Amino acid sequence: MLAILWIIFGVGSPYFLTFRNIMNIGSYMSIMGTLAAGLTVAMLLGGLDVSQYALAALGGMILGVLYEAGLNPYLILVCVVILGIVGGSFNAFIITVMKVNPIICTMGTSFIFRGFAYLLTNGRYIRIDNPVFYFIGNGRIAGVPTCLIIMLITYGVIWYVLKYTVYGRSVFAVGGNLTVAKLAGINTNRVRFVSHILAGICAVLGGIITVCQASSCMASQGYGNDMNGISAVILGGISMAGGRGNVWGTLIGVGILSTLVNGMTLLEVNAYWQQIIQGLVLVSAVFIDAMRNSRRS
Amino acid sequence: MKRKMLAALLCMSMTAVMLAGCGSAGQEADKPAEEAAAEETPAAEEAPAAEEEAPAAEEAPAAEGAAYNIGYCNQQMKEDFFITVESAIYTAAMNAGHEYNLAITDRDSTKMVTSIETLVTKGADIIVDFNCLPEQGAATGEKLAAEGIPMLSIDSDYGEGVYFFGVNNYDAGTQLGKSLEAFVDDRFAGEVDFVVALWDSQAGDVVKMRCEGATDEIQEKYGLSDDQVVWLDSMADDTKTQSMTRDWLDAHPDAEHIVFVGQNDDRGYAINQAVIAADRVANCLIGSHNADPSSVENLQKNMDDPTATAWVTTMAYNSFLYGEQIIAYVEDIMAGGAEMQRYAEISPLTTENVDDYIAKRDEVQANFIEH
Repeated sequence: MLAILWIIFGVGSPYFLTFRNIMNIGSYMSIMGTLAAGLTVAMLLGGLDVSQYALAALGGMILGVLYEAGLNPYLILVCVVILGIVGGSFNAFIITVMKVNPIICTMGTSFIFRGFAYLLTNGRYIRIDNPVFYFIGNGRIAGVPTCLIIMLITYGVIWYVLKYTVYGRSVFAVGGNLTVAKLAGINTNRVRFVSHILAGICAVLGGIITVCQASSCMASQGYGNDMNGISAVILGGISMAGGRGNVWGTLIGVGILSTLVNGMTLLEVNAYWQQIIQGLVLVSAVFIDAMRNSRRS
Repeated sequence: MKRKMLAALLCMSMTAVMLAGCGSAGQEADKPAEEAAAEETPAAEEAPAAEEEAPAAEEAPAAEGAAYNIGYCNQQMKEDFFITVESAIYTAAMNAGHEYNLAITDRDSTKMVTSIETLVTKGADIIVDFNCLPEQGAATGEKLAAEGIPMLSIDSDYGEGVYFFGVNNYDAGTQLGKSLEAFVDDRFAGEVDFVVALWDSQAGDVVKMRCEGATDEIQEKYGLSDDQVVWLDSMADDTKTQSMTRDWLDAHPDAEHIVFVGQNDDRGYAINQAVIAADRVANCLIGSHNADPSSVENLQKNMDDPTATAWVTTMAYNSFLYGEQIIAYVEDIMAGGAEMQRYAEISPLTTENVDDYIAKRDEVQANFIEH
């Protein structure tokens, strides 16, 4: 599908296959991509995390507040990552200890995170003007956007963890069949706990990239985009039932959605049609997932 | 299974066909600006001599034939005001022979960055931005300036180095307040129990000033205490606006002279629905901003029957005239030496002048080019 889109947009617009535009797609996909990497782990367990964009917004606002307070930028980044661990642990605690359904839990915590994000500055935006943050959001390494490299590193780490660690194999086991995993002696709660922490870290990384790209923090960042990450993960072949898929598939899913947004703007597709097409892509993704599941059963 | 695979392939084909079919502007936009202008603009067809007589584009004022690639970054295409402004800019750009490219951001700061980058990739000579994101806008303006591309912001001041077109939000609010005061004096005999402002925190502090100007004006004129000025954050949600207003009215059954200030006409519409549902039209006056069709229609209703609706005034920003003014400003900027700020003409719309406004608006909009 990604190849088809590239052919369509490449033929349709002479600007699409330019280096500048491809890097622009890369910069854009770095945010959704980083968030979706964490979401992949949560969805491999058969759960959804709809609080990611809200946690990203909170992370971004924390970054802004600490920046205004004059903290060292590297220390700020560490603090924001710690926030991601705390936010992920909060989700994990509610899901694993309080036994709340993951979707309901993360719906609730998304309001909590977003509320705190607004509360930090009473909705005020913060302008960020710092070379370190600028480099993260807008800098280049050998012509490639730094944020894209951060996203790729995130995927590399998640891929390694899922493929080569005991924890990673446990994720697939728990997502595939919770009861069997328990009977096999896997501490399923611990696996789910760690997964939500990973999702939390990816969320704040996405928040950091967002703030650094925009050079400003706003509590409403990513508002209404929650389904984008989920669509990307499903498009990438992660089953909503859990237990199957890999993180590189998610990267392709992110690539499809980012290409779609960029290409439709280049082709000047009517704004209302853009919504319809994005909806169609989401429906297709769920349909394909259902097809895969029926084939499996 | 084969049938399902076929269905999936058909879905993808449909999407591909739609993408190809919907992107009608793409091929035209790919042409050089001059070529596109010659094909699209009736004026260019009728007066080819003008192009011949014009000196080199970089030396001549735009109005005499220079065509620019204008990248317009619009925050949304869901509310009437933004749709009208977009149509007005497109029409004015086409009439003046410029190339025009559009990007929609959903007022998402990240999408704003990537959309403007896309417009630059398409060769934009100038970026016109209507996202109203001051911090983001300032940073983007700096980046564009480094590439030698000027940026013009609509309705939100992005600070040094970025051109501004629009209104002074606080002054617009003050004018709205004065317009409401005329109705307070006429219908409430100069008495006000509460001023209730329905604002949207997501739109930022600058846009909030539209409400602050009005509440300050009314508070000062009638000597209201701070407790009599109420702020409700609608979070840009129509349903929330309606329920908050209804709840507030239910909590204040004894208030008989209430002035509502809506940050825009969408808020005004929701407030009006709540007031009607609560059967409190006689106790309320509503003023808002934008002069969208919803407010215009209600002002006409109020003109015929003051008990039918509480909506009495809206600030007309004349969105249908934005296009001509913005494109003229763009041409001045590109020609060099334009002032950094230019203000739109605004006026309060009331039951008294709504018919004249409609006549003028319809006349201009009838000439909008569909796209």
